[in-house]
Amino acid sequence: MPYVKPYTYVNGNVLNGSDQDNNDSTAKLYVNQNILVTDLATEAFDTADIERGELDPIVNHHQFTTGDVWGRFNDSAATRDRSYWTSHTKTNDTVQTSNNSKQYQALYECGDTIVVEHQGKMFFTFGATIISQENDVNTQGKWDSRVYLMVSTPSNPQPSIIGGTRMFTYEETTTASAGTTDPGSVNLIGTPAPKDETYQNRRWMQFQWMYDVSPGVYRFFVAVNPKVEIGYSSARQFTMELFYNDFQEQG
Amino acid sequence: MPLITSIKNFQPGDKPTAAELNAPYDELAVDSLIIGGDNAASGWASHRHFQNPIANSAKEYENSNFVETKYNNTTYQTITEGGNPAQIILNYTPDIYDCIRFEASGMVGESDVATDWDYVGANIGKPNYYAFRLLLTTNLGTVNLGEWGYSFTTKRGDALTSVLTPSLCSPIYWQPFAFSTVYLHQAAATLQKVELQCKVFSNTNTLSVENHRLYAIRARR
Repeated sequence: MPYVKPYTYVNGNVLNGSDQDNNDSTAKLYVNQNILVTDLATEAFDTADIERGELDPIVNHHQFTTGDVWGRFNDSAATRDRSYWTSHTKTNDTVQTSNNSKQYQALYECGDTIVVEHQGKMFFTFGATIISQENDVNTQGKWDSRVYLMVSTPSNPQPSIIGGTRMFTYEETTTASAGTTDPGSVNLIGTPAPKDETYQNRRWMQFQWMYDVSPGVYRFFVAVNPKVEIGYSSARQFTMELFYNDFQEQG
Repeated sequence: MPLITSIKNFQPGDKPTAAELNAPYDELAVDSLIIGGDNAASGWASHRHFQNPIANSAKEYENSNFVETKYNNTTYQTITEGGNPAQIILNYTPDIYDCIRFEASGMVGESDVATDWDYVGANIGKPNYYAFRLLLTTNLGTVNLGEWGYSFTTKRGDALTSVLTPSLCSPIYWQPFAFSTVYLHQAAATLQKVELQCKVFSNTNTLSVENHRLYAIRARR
């Protein structure tokens, strides 16, 4: 409720000390701790009044307050910013050439640990050029390295795949699933055009995804399940946005 | 709340009047009903200061089924899998100049491509085209929020073996699509729904759409 003046000064009256103290102490009490939501003017505040999220640079944790956005990108022309991967880091040769193994590697700069204070939704936007470059030494290696968003929490520390975000870095042109065929070497009607390999292989991978979150700590990251001997991504763009309520709640 | 300015700095020997003494308290009593941005520091408000609804909010339609649906319509048709149209029911009346951000993404599967080039007339190259759009329906009509086009194959001019018998280039399977736009609400209307739609240029080609998503994010001032 708004401030109400306890004592009104009148010309010619002797000012009583307790009346003066009462006016001042009531004003102090109101300003310091009695301002209520009904005292706020309608549409008087804008986004500049809302607290920003906080980054703990030691552990790179982000804490969101009223909903915020976090993201990063790198330069597509800078080869130093490529994020390489290889199937040779997998446990053994059988796993390296398997079409079903799920040993993954995280893409640089495409993940973070988030502290969520309230029930909400986390919105992800991801895009990158992801290239399968070499798969020559082991001729049984597959070409369709898969990319997906993964999540882990303190209570479920083993990362799990968010299935709807699954993408293929390359899929050959036959109706069969990706196998050992080089990009561009198979065409529905015969010999491929010279640059099919490049155009098939160097395509833009992207997804948007919304994930329900409860109060707690989450670690999200984009990972690749490498199946080729040399692959890399560049021009990675990754943002996470947090929304603490949805359209339904506004009535 | 306007800033309180009616405070008189009394000097030794001054004899204050009742009006001078009353002024700052009366001003506080009136202005404390309309506290505003001038009275608050930047970044003062955090989530605990807000009742629902707060500034930004989001609504979604997600189809995570890895089930292909096929389309060879040459005019826009709402993507529908399992009887579920790709749409968000909004039923929402924004304030004037509110912004709504719409985003959509998904996966194109194994499309059936028969024609990716036409060497005569005004349609040279166009059969290779397919597109998505977002269609917003209000109580006043529909608003086309944009068209986002893609190619079925890797066809390019230098891929032609002959202008008379153009070869079919490699279809691009499992190609993800994603796009977004911002709608600025400039006239009073109720937003009823937004739909994700698709079409092909040539009905000899059939577009395969797998999992897909549609999001609406409100950003209030």
